[in-house]
Amino acid sequence: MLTRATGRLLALIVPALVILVVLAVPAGARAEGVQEKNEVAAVEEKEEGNKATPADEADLEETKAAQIAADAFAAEERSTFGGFRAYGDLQIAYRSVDLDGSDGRFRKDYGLDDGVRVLNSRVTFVPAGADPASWFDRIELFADGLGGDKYETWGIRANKTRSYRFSFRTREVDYFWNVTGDPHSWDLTRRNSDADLTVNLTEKLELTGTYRGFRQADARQTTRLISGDVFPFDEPLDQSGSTWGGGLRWRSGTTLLFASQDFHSFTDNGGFGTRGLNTGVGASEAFLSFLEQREIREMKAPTTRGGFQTQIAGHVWLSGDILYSKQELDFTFRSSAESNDFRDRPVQLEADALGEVNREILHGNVRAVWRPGDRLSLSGEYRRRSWDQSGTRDGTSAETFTTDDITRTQSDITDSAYEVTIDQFVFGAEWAVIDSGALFGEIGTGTRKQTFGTDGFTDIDSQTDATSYKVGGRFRSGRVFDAEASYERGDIDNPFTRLAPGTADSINVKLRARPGTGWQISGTYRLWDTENDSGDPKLDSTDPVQLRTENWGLNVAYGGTGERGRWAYAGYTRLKYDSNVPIRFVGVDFGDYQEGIAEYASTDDIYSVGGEYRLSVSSPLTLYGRLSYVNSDGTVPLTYYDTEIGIRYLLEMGVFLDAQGRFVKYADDTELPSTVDDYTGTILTLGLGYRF
Amino acid sequence: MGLSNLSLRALGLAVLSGGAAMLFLSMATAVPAQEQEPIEYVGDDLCAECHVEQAGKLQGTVHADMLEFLADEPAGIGSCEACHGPGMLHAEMAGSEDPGFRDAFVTTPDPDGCVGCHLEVRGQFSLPERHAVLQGFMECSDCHDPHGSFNGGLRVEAQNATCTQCHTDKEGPWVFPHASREVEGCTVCHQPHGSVNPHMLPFREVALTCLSCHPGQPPFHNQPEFAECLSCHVQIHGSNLDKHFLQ
Repeated sequence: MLTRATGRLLALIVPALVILVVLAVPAGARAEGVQEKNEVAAVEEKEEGNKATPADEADLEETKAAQIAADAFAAEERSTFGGFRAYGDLQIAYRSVDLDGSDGRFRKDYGLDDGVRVLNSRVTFVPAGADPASWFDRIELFADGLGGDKYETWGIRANKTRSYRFSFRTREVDYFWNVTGDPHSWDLTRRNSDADLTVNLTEKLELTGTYRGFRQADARQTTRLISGDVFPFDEPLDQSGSTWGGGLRWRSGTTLLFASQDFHSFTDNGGFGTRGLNTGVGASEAFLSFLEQREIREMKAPTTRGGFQTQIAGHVWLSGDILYSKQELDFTFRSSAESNDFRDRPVQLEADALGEVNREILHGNVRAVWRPGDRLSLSGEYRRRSWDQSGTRDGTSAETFTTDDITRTQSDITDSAYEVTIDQFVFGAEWAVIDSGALFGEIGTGTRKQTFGTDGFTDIDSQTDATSYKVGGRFRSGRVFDAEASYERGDIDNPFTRLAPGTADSINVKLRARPGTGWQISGTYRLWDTENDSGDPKLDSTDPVQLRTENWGLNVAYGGTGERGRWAYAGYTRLKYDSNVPIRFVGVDFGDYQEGIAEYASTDDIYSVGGEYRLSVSSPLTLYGRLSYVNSDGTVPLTYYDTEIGIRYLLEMGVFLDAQGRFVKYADDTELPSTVDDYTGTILTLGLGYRF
Repeated sequence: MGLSNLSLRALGLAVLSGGAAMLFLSMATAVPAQEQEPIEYVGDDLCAECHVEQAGKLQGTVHADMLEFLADEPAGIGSCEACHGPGMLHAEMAGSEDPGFRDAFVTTPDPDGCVGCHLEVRGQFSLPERHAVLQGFMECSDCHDPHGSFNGGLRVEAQNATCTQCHTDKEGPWVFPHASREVEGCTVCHQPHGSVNPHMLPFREVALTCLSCHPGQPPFHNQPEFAECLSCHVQIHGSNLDKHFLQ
């Protein structure tokens, strides 16, 4: 492995040297090549009668036809394998990572490591000639990041036009989170696989098939508060699941109907426990000498979906969809612990339980839009969300106080039921006052009914009624300017469930402009202001909880229209939130505010230096500042920096060399002590590729 | 105040960097007019002949409605090409085996093709805690279907299913689910594009997120050790054993 200093130096120097070599050394040779090409072109122009004049449309067509013919000729020259023509890119690279600082934070952000990788590779096979009997028009294999990158992806796509299309992709992700001050950490491997098949049964009818599979496993840590002390726990994860499904889709003109059925299964073989004697963090006398808990869940869930959309008489649009899922869950639970409680009494705990849960979920939406004229549009929508759940838990627990020679045992069978139904109606109108501007309004009303029942207790019923309205306007001037502003207010009446907010006000403003070719400017402002009454006289509170967030954004982008991959961004995002939380609720004064500002600038550019050289540059920079809460009136800056420069050199016969140097930096003064999560990293990638 | 100094310094640096980069790009990428590729559009109807599914889903969506604003040319341009670029070359090469068939578009792909218009989302992805889209590890289309769906543009039919396709440990079901997660969805607590707070929460203190919906708590919570809600309510996404998510 390269040393830290060497790697960093190389990452900056190598691309720079390559650029110098590109620009200086072969200039003469390139000039000779250009001259030779110009001579050939001059002869061809003479022979063709100088017909390629860009301003002449007819000539453009001929030029394009000639180019396509040349491409076809080039395709004929490509390799064939058993009657199939193949083309694509293969790239093998060696990556060296030189890190100074927090490995955990770097792994969360990038997860890159030393080693050989397969990068950005794809191979496509097509029949060598026009063959109507061929099973496919195209098969494509692709892979990226194989060998240990944070996101390893590979898959295959195949299709035959108007017959079928198929795709399969699997992705393995290294999910990592372990940052200072956070009570949780994850070090997981996640694998997701997707497969989709669509078969054109007729011109209007399609048969679809889907597969989704996942598995995630490995280490996880958490903390728990026990008798006033915080204890760390290992909480390893082992979950897997799959979904198989099929459906039909029929389309005729503006009408679409679809229906599908899938079957989902899920297994969670999890648990957590201490690693041995642990005194925890806190002032109490509690400690754990042993604790282990295990919970196994298995679920099966068939789900049915259906929907439609259609247009009637040219000015009425109707659409709707429905989802019905029936979920069945079985679980077993076992817990065992030895500890001293907060009075320093030795205690042993044993508990186990098994249970089952059955749930029915229904989601439905119906929408209608009516445009009686050129300027007026009316809409209505009904939404329903419901779930109806019942479950049984059959458990026993034993608690033994060794010192007092006391054993308490408890056995319980608990049936519980949980039912929630939400109905919402939304009606809207939009009136185009002028050709480029419109006013709109919306009124909504909704009801949420909830019933919670536990065996041996009276059912708890509650109902929340909500109303809302929204007014606004938009103005659009061709492709140059687009603006929209709206105000929305919601009132929620819920005296029983302690669920709020009581009122919510929201203001949204969006401005977007394209002042010139390639320029984009976006400005946004959002205010969200809530006030929550406690609604509980026992708390003797008349002070509401007030929360307010504001979000400003001003972003500018420049991208050469018609050019691939050339962009520059600069932006400013600001978030501010104020809170007024009565002290009696949480014991800590949250009646303060916090503010965060993020600014960034970046470029992303790929272009050709010469015919055989391609240079890429990206340089994002993000600065972030936060004003802390609870009277710690100070600025805590945080900086991200990530710049990359790369060069590709095309050798003969489609072989190319890649060199990329990437410098990343994370400096976070929000941590105490600061620099604990900071890192500086240099990532050097040297690749060899083949384009054929 | 320090924040103002930092803000001015950072903003100044951002503007200078961005301006320099744009100037550099303008100079470096300048191409003489006579060498530019001709830009020719074919319109939605021709696209829909092959791309039936995408064309059907696009009907009535915001993207379809925005064609005039999105398009690079003011008139006669389909909404497909507003994002994918002019399709004449692609259409002419359809059915050929030439690799240029797939690459005959000029607009940059996901995510730059998306955040080129959705600049505010580009800004949110630059916040300290965000999904790694701009780092190249994820794409907008992992969660969104830009052609439209029955769920407001998300890739799968239900919002939570979009999240739990990766965050599978939050999927449930639970005997005692957190109702807001089940009904309002994951985004009632999390800001998936980015946040200044850990776990993409709207507030730095987890308790404030909880208080957004639960302002009234039993009196014994009036003690400092109970200020951190998740120290006790550890299974906040759902529990099979305790309706208060204590285990």
